[in-house]
Amino acid sequence: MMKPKKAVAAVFFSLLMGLFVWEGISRISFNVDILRLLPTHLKQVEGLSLFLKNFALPEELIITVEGSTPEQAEHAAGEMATMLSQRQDLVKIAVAEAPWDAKPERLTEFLTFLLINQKPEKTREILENLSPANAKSTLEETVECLNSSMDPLEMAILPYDPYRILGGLSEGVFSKMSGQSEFSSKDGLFRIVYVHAKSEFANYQEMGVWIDQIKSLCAPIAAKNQVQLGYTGEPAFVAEISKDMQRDMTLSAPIALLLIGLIFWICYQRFLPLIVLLLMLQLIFVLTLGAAGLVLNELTVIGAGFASVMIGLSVDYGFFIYQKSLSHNGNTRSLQWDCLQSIFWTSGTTAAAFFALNFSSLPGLSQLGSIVGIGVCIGAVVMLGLFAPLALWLKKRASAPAPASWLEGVFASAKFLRGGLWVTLILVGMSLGALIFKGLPETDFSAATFRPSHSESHNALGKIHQRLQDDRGFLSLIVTGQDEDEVHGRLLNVENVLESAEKRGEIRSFFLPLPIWPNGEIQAANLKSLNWLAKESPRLKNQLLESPFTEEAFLLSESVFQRVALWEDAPVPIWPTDEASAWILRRIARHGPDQCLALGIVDPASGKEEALVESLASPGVHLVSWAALGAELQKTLPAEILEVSLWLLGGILVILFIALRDWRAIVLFLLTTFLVLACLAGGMSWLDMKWGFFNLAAVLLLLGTGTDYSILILLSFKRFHSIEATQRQLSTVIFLCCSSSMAGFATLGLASNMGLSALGRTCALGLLIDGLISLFILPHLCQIFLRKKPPLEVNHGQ
Amino acid sequence: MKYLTTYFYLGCYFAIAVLAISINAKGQDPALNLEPLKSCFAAQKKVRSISADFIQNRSFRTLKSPVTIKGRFWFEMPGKFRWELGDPPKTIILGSRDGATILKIPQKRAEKVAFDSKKTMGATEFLKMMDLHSLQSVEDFCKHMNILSLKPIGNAYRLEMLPKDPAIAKNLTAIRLDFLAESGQWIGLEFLTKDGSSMRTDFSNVRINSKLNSSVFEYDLSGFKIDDET
Repeated sequence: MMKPKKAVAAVFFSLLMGLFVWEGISRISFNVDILRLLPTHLKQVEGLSLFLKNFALPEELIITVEGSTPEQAEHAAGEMATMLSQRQDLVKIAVAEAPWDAKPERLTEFLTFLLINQKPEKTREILENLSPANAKSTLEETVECLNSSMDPLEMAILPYDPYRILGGLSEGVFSKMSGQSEFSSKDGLFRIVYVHAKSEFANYQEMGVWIDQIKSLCAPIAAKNQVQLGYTGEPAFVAEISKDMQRDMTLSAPIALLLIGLIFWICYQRFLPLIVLLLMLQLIFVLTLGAAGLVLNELTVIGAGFASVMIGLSVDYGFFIYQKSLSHNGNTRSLQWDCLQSIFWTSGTTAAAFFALNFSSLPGLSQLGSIVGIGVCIGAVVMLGLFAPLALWLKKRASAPAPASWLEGVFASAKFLRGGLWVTLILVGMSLGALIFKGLPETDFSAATFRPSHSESHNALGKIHQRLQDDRGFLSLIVTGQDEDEVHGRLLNVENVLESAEKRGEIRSFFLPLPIWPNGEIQAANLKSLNWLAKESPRLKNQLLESPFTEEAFLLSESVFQRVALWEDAPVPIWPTDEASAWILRRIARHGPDQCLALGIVDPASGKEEALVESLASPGVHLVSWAALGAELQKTLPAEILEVSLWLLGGILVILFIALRDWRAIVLFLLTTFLVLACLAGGMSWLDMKWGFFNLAAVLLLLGTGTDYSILILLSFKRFHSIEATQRQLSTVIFLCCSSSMAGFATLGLASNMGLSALGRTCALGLLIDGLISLFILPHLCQIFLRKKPPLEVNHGQ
Repeated sequence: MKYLTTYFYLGCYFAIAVLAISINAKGQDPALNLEPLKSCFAAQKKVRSISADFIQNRSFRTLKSPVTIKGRFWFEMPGKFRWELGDPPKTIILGSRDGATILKIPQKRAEKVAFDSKKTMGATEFLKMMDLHSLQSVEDFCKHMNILSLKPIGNAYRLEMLPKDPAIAKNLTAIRLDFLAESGQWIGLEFLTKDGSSMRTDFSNVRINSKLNSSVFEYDLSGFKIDDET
């Protein structure tokens, strides 16, 4: 029976832990913004973050509708838009055609807004044309133009703008803004419905529920009209990635536990210790998640992959303690003391390696490093503090003494060790051969590596690129400023640069929102002039009625004059506020009290992207694309990883030098590490794996985890000075540690995120290579280089 | 409210582009006899050159009466054409498969445009249709157009169609093409918009495969201000 004081203390401690875990976990949220994984000092990251924050439209779901006939697609899209618009509990607006298609008068406010934004010289030109002396000839000229023009835009507008008030706009704005429909493909078989949520989403779960509701509402219409639906847009991406992250978190850890349990069972075939070990791992996981929640607040897609890695690493200490407990004859304290030094040593280097990821400017890697580092430390404490006494208790409880692992016999056999050496040599030869003949693995820093491997929303987006407009080669130009005037000034500068670049053939075309961007001074001047014109309205109308035009021809001008009159005393700069204007401006402009943003598009000539990005780099101007981000990452990341790796390697070497005090052993360690990395590169090349943003971190992780094996071998050899004794001593432990760590990383290989999956597979491959080289080749190298030295008295606990 | 339906005219901007393209069999009356159209296409394949006069009537909803203008056009394989509007000409378009030059004679202005540029959504697209060999078959034609009807009118036929591209079709009631099935000759072409406006071109004095002077497809641009958008 437990004493009451101890029981109270245990309950209190458990409650405290429970509170700690609850508090931590409740603070965790998923952040699916991949840019949060990347260094914020990169220009592309900064620009793309601005783009996503301001123009990604987090409440706009895009539904793609594919039919076998245009009528089917049109009918289904229209029916869906009508039905969704009626669901005001879910949807603010759902549109299958531009808001002004059904009611063209809705464009009046926006057209007037364009009019007051144009250059004052153009307004003066209008005044001149409409003066009492010139108004009649202006009308005659318009009739003549309607008779002889071949310009369809002119023919479309002039019958309703006989005084050519909007004439200047047709040359500038309309010609630049017209293009491919954003609602339908040319063949009519593919349509788009834009659905705006009723309000902002509080979190990704809410987003997911909303999308599921929309899907269930649209499914019957799709079935009835025999059309296929796809869902994309920001909410679809966020919900999808968040769900994947949650799935990765909830699936990868249990799978890792299962694999680790299997490894334990193969080794020891003991049920109860296995259950206890698995419970310990779950406790470590929960405690780590709680601690991570307190430290980090949110998990990125990389951070979500920590669980399986951490479990794979923490279980090493459990294996080690259990193995020691089988032959331990003392009490719990002595077992803990026996294990302490080795666990401290290995967990210290591993945690140091992961914490070293914080030196990286990559927030994603820093987060992974912090969580796994914390987890490894918690793992060491839990295993030593809880599992060690339990392992000893289990041993005492067993009726018969636990047998040593049958694997020990296998690993100790000369035949196995010889075979292992040959297999390793062959694999090393093949890997190095692949490196020589196939070269280094290819690199892929494209945005594709950030995505889920199977993504419905990306498939739907791909169809939009295929059927409507493929803008993947375009660069987004984001111009920011404290107010409208600052943005206007910057847009003018950018226009000069882009026009020069266009003349040099560096860009094919560009669109700047200058015609729609308001400038207070210009608007004030134009409003003053146009208000004079508005007062002349009766004269102009009478003059028109005497011409070949009907009264209807004056209605557009009249409505523009009315809008101008409404804005007469409004403070400038003026922004239009109606629905049609909001629809047009949603992807072009943002204005707030502290910041204004304008979005343009640049279609660069092939190979000129980088030069363009550099030539436009100035405060408040960002020319960005996912491809340009990939190029920037490719330029900066390898150097970044190399720098952190060198720091980490330096730290390990210092620790090793203190422990080994033998430069030959250090050289052997370096040689082994170099060989492992070379074989990893060769293996990746052989297996057509690519280096990318995520799996470059594998180098760091291998330095932190894989080097443990070679360090253990070096220490053991220094002690026994014999290949056989070293291998006999460590083969089982290295097998267990290596296979459990591999299981952790391999489970990560199943992650839905392609980058995370690549990281898992690369680390699993690296650990396999590291384990094989350390166990089978390194002892032979030690025999050659270290045998004449007297053994060191280092207790590594094996 | 009705007055601003006039914005439909913005759609005419797209409508002219239609001429370059063709029709869709799907959605049309299956009993429709397309034989006259097939004959027309077959006959057009033998065409090496065309010259014709035309009269264009433009009726706008906001004009009290239609406006009329005379014009002429010439076409020669492979894809060279001249479209002349006005007598004396006010607007001339000289084109080939590579692009076109739009000349505004009174203003002494010329604009060079490529066929794949946004500008070609306008007038030059109209003239792309002159490249008769680009219309391979009725089936190709039907990939882009819905045929609404094909009826005899005297010794000719009237084809009523709508482009399949919803962005272009939404503001149109129909496009009418009157033609002779045997010779493939066009008699008239008319655009009808939903707001009641129309533009009809009636061809006359059509000469097929007559020898054309090469200077027809050239123009002295001295003194012209040239905008090169190619």
